[in-house]
Amino acid sequence: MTVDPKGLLVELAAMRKRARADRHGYWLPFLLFGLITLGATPFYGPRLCVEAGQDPELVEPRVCTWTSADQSWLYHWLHPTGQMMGPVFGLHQPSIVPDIYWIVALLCGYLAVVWWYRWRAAQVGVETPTRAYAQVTIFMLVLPLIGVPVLSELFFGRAGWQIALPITVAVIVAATWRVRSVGFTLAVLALFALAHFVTIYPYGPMVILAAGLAGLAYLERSVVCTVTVAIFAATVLFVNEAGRFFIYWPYPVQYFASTALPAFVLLIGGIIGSVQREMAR
Amino acid sequence: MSENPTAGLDDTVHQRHRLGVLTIAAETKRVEFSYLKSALELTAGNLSRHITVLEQAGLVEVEKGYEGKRPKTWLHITAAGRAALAAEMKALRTLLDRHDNS
Repeated sequence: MTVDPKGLLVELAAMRKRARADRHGYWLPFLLFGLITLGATPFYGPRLCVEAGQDPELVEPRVCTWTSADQSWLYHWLHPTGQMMGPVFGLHQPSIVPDIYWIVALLCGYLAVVWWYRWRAAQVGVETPTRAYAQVTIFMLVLPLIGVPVLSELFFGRAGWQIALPITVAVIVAATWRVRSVGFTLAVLALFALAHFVTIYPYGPMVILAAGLAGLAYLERSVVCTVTVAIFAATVLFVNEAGRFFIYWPYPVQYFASTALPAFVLLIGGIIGSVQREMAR
Repeated sequence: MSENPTAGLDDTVHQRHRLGVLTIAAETKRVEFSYLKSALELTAGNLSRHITVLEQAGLVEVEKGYEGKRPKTWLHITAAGRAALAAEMKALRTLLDRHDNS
């Protein structure tokens, strides 16, 4: 090691850079969550129905309907991770199976990521702090499941959003203001808003994923990781909002493009990260 | 006249290897002894002595355990360690600025 201050600062910066590169492990979570997102594709396909007692060969099947307008309160509770308005691209499949898939897959994915970073630390000798990632993911998993339905049923539904919303914001600000910082309060408010979108967006679980991965990008401090998460978040926003602006996929890809595109972004990011790591060895 | 920047240098931290230990530890949740040994190109005995100094000053915490059957020593930086590292880096940069401007 060098002794002059300038050389010492340069050398310390190099050490920091090397330790950061050595602890990077985001490529595996990207590949894992890319596959999980791709695996959700079959749940968003159309399902056709016939009346009870009718022969499907003799009658023309129609799209199953169980709309949020019929029984919104029940729908809200049964579909905590989204789909309340149905997928933007394609026909709505009124089933709770996608919710179960996403909850189990995201929970297992979260546990796998925490395990992965601990395992990697044992191999490499440096461990990435995963607390922020864990906090954001758990928060985003639990809040849409419990917090949003409870708040909707017991507070917003009875008091009206004009009263309930300012009170909710005031309580969050009061609870977080003195504990941490302004940034922390803003982050909690943003996560609350996102949790609300999770329950109303057709591809809401991807919002949970985007929030968790944003936490991971903050910890990883890697350009590839940050860029991938930014593109993924933009893609998730697009597939959830496109229907509002009457933008539709071409017919041949309409049933899988909304899951395949975000999955593709994560898989590409994971592959680039993996190649970059191999080249750095 | 402003304070001399060398006054911001802490004797415990202002040692190149100990500064290296703190820099790497600050970048991670925890770092393993053998990683530090390799990164700083130190012998085990030398590194142990530096870590003992930092531990006694409350700048790092040492955690001994096993990974399978292999003993492992992990080290993580404390809040005081982060503050001391930040102060040291600031003092070094101020010193350099003074030197460059003189």
